[in-house]
Order: sequence, then C-alpha cells, then structure tokens
Amino acid sequence: MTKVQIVVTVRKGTLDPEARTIRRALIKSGADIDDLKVGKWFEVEFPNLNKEEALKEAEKIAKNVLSNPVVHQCIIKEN
Amino acid sequence: MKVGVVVFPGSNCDRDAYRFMSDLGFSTQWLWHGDTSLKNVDLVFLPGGFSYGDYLRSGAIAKFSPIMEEIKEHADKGGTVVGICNGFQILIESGLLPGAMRTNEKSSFICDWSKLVKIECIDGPWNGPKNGESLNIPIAHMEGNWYGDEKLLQQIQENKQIIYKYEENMNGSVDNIAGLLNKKGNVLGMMPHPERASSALLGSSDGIKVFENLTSNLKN
Repeated sequence: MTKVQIVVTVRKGTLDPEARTIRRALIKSGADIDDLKVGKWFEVEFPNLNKEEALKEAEKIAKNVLSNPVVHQCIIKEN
Repeated sequence: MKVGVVVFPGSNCDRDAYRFMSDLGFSTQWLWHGDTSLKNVDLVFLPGGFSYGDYLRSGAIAKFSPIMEEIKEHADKGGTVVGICNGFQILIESGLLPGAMRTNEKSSFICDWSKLVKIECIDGPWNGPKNGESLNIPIAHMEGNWYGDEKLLQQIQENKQIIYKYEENMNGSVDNIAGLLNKKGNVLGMMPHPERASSALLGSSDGIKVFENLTSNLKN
C-alpha cells in the first residue's frame, strides 16, 4: 500500500481571491506575512501500487479530476 | 421540439427552468442524473444550483453522472445543450466548453441584475438576439469568474465563441465573459439566469430572447 499526498492550488500568477482575503485578514490580525497560498489537500491510499506506480496514478487523478489544469497546479508526494 | 431538464442532487433552478421552457411552448420533461438515456429530447437543459454540494469544484462531480456521457454524445452529434450557472460550470468541467471558473474577484456571492451585451458569434440555435443588443438578466453565483489564458482567449475570440459579455465586469471574468458557445455553436453556457427573467412582472422578460431562435422555429 502506498499513501500519496496531493495539494491543489491556484496556478502561480492567477488571481486567487480566497488567498487574498485570508491574507488581508491575517495582516489585520497583526500577522507579519508576505505572500499566502491556499490549497486543497488530499491523502490517497493505493492498496495495490508501489511508490512509482502510485505517484504516476496520483498525477493522473490530480490532473483529470482533482484539479482543472487551466487554473490549478498540483504538488504530489509520497506520504 | 422536446426539452429535457436534468436534475442533479443539489440542483435548485430545475423547476424554474421546467416552467420557463414549458411556458415558451416547448414540450418539457425531466431527466435524472442517473439516467442513461436522453429519452429522445432535442434540447438538454442543465439548470443552476449546487450539484453535489459544489464539492471539489462547482460542477466537478456532476461530470461523472451517467447522464453526462449521453449529453456529451448528443453534443458531439450537433444536439442542442444549454447550461445555466451551475449548468455552465458543469459544461466547463465536462470539457464541453473551454476554460475554468474561479471564485468571484471580490470573494462574495453576487445576487443582482446584470446588463449583458450580445456579441457577434457563431451562427446556430443560440444566435437569437441581435448583435449589440442589451439584455437585462439576473446573476446569482459565487464562482462565475471565467478564466482562460491569453492563448485560449484568442482562440475563442477567433472562433466567435463568445456570445454574451457583461456591460460592466461584475465578477472579474476575463474579457467580461458571461456566456460561451462550443466550437460548433450548439452548446451554450451562461452564468446569468434567463429563466429568472421570464416576465416584466419579475423585472425583465429578456430571458425569453436567449431562446428566440428556437421559439421562432417552433412557431414556423
């Protein structure tokens, strides 16, 4: 069994109103921050795949289902 | 002409759509998201709402509904399809229309009247209103901020796939885009709700114009 983490965020350079709103709120609360990114985190278990196969499969589902490549980018890594 | 209004779990403009299309003179029936047949309808109507709770992304889960396979086949054969609001989002997620939807620029749900301009576009069932005509149709959405990169925007401009633009950009959409066609012009997606602009009593009857080409064919 291999566990893989997938994080989907808005593509660099693309407007992300949610991140902008949260960033503004954090600054108002007194946090000293610069850039902020928001993403959706997935942990997927592949019962019958080794690490290499699982990462390949994760990339496939990340691109086809979990994100819209027009506007999103994905970070994929073994858990 | 037979119309089928598709009901997904979480659709909430389905009854408005059904009534609107019936009042326009179409023979209208329900289609269920689990159906594997379009029951010989000529026009498929994907209504607004929050299909599958908007989980993952608006429209992203609905694309796996059994009926979507039938709708894709229908569209490929040149069949007429319209998606309003969440229906538009489903059409984008299914790859029937280009681009992506982002959260509105101001991160808020917008429920308001919008002024649309009809743009010169591919000829077909949706090319009813005159080019440059202004339509008063309400919007109600959180994710209607259409995005495509410069290359995609250029492509859809060259193919004349843009059918409606907001007179004033309300949600951050690239190029003020409010409504799009597919390459062949038989599939329409738009964020504004024509079914909510069905009578002067409700503030506007301009929604009827969106279907003008089809209703005039009905009469002939």
